[in-house]
Amino acid sequence: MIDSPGPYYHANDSTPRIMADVAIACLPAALCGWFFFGVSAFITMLVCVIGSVGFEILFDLCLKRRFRAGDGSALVTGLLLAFVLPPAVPWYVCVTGSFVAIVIIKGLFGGLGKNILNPALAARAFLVVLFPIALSSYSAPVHAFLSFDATTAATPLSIIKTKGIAAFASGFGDAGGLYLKLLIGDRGGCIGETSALALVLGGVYMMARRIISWHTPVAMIATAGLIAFLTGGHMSGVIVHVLSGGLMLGAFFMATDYVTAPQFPFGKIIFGIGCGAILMVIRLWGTFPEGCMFGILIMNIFTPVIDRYTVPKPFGAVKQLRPIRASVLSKEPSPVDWKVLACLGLCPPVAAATGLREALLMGTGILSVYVLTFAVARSLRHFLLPSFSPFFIVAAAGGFTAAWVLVCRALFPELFSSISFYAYLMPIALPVIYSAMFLRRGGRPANSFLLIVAAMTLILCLVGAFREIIGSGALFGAVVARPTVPWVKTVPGGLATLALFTGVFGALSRRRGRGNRQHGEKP
Amino acid sequence: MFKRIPTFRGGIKLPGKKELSKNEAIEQAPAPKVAIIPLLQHAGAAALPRVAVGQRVMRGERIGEKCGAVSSPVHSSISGTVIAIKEIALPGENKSQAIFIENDHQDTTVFLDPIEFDNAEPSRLLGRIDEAGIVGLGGAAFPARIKLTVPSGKNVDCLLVNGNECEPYLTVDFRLMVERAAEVARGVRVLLRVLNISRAIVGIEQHSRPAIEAMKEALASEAAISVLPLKVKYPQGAERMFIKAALGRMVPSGGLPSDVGVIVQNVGTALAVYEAVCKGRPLVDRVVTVSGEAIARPKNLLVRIGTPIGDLINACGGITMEKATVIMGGPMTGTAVGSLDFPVIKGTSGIVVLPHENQVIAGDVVCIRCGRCFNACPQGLKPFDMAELDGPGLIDEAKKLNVLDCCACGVCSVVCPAGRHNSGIIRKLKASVMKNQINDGAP
Repeated sequence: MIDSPGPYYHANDSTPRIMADVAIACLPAALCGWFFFGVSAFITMLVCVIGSVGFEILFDLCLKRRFRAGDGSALVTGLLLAFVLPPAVPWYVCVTGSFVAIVIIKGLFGGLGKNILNPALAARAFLVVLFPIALSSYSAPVHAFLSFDATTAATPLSIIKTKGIAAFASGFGDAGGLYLKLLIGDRGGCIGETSALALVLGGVYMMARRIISWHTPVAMIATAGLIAFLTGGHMSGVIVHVLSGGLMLGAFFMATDYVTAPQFPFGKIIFGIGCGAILMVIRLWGTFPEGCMFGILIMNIFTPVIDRYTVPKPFGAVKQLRPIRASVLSKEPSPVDWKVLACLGLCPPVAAATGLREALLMGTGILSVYVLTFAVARSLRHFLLPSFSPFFIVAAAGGFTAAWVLVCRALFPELFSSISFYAYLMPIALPVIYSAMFLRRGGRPANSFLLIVAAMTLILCLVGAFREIIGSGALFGAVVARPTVPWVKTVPGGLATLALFTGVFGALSRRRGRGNRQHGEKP
Repeated sequence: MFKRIPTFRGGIKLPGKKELSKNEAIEQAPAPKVAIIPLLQHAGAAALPRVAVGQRVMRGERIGEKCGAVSSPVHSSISGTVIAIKEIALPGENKSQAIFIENDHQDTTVFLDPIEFDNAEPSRLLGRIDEAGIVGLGGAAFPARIKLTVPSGKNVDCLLVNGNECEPYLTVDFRLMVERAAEVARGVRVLLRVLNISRAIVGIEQHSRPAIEAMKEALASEAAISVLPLKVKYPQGAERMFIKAALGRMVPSGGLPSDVGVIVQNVGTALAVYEAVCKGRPLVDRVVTVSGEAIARPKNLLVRIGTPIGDLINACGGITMEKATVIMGGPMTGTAVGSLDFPVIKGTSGIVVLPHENQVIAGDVVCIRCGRCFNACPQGLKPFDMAELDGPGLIDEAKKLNVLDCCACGVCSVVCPAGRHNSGIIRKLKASVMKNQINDGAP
């Protein structure tokens, strides 16, 4: 019996278990790499793994330390190193790469937990300099596990760099065939990076097992996609860029490395944005065809700085200690925030809805999107990871909005064509994001949430009716009022009407609220 | 329509293990042959002995006098003769003078007079709570009188009654609520009278359905006292997490619950307050859960303060394994003890006997910076940074990391995949920072 403080319980998590999960997540990509590139890919992976584990054991032996090779991190590093190498590299390149990754980048910096650069990517950077020819000879896919062929071929990104993206796309035939090939990985490239589908599968597995969070992959891929969109203008360019090169591999497996990436959620997003941006800059305007490796390595260097400035405020951290009214300290958003956001969100549809019919159309759209999104989120909440829920809610809302837009276009074409599509986005995006943040923090917003959405719809319809009556004097064709003010039907007029109505509503609710307030509750 | 069970950020789900003892009705434990009653059973200054060796004492007689403001009197739980007053070691690193009383098994009792609390002055009720030696029975053992005295300038509008019992194995509060809900409810009303407010919320973890039902029934006639089921997550029973989940208010860093208008008391404390006020009974007994996989028959026992834990373990059939860890308290915040002579004190809520392999020995482990400890920390602190602090400037860095806000829940050690004993390192760090603050005379 021993005398010591607890806790006397430990969760089942352990470092080897985490590494095993990462290795399982790598399996689909490893199998795809082996299938597409044959025996040479298998040998490369084998030599890298054996080399990494071997060097870790040797390193510990030389330093007379306890063997840490059992924790699995060397195995994962070896596998990921193989993933970023071309399939037909000679064995000595693999061995050198393992040595650099394990001994120089990890070991000499202090071992697991102390390296500042991603070992696999830093090793690749070394190899690009030491063996430039070996690292730039890629093979064409062979589609057989046991094939020994290794004909050289160019990777999609090198074709894009030399000939431009249009030439690349035309070389594959139709767009559908191109996207499918890129998705499943039927293209030249490094062993693990070709199959976007396999990598996404692995990434989703890791997110489900809570090994990585969604922040970095989503930020990185979204940034790269956005830059591709802004510079190219076509969705096809975006798809090609997102599915080519090492973006998927980097986003899910490299940029999420525990040791070298930021710890806090907001920092992870910044890290992902930085990686995606540097990656695309190099791809578009640099001399290298692929920039993933450099993007991640450069952002690795910024990780300590990012960590320092993105520390979330701990529980109850306020500057002063004097007794403060609970409403200021509590993190529940006060109703004022809701009203501001609702008004902001109402501006575009109000501007667009010049009549009652348009207003009703948009209003029912908003209401149904909200109800559907939150019904789905509510029923799936047991299956959703807490960190997924804002992402999921925004995605679901977007999906339902798109569905609603399609339905409207089909059923009310002439009415729909008079409304700009973007007018649908604002009222949906702002409050959904806001309430998603709220749900994530574990508050209780949604009791009044539907009421607020219903109020927004009501205001929208009232504004629409007001503008139709005052602006054109007729409601649904029947003449109602004689002197008309056509200005009300313009955009400034609509916003002024909105201001009038929200002022009136606000004053009414304040009068009613004053009587019901309980002692100590927020006003 | 979208009601979500209230909870707080972080925390982890633990195997509750409540089924081992939750259906065992509270049994009277056998009275000890010799009661060992320490004079320091509470947070603050130890009590001063007011009996001498050889003196006969009665059950309920005051044997220790308050010493200073932050202190509490101590009463005898048995009747008999004082045979010794000497220093004993308490679990952890504390020592205390203790009064050894040999039981004459007569149980001659001297309690105080009952008070009608409905119209009593709050100050009179506070005086009675103080006289009866009531301290927080949730484990912290802070003198209840001080907690219930709201400093001027602070407004308290709500009383939170902590029935969460988030520690695994412990079912004390659960059984009290199931068996004695009416008395607990009356205790809550006494506390409301002391604080001169009307609103109270009893927080109970969602899986304790019988307790929730029992309390709802007992409080059916009280409009301003509600029962709130909370999400089952450790440490829901920690004061700050409870306030956040129940009311959405965050106690400021370095502050107290009264800063946000709340006072928190444990369910057992509420019951003890009821007994002190309405029955005149000082704090001489408490319910203790004896549980664990290495004990023959887990039970919930009504124990006299001062009973050695060896007696309780025998009353439950003894330890069934050769090598076992005996923990006073719960497995998360309790301390393993090396001797069965330690007495049950006011803050002992449980004795958990676990098979030896549950002991986590942290060897030479390195942080892999996975961030699980940060994600799990209910206070939003950074255990991975705090556990790495070393060298000069340690104290300032620790203060910047808000180490004093650590509520010592132990979650950071539980989730660490590398097996690092973060909570132990942080506890030592906290002690150094506090010692440094006292030396500097900082507030």
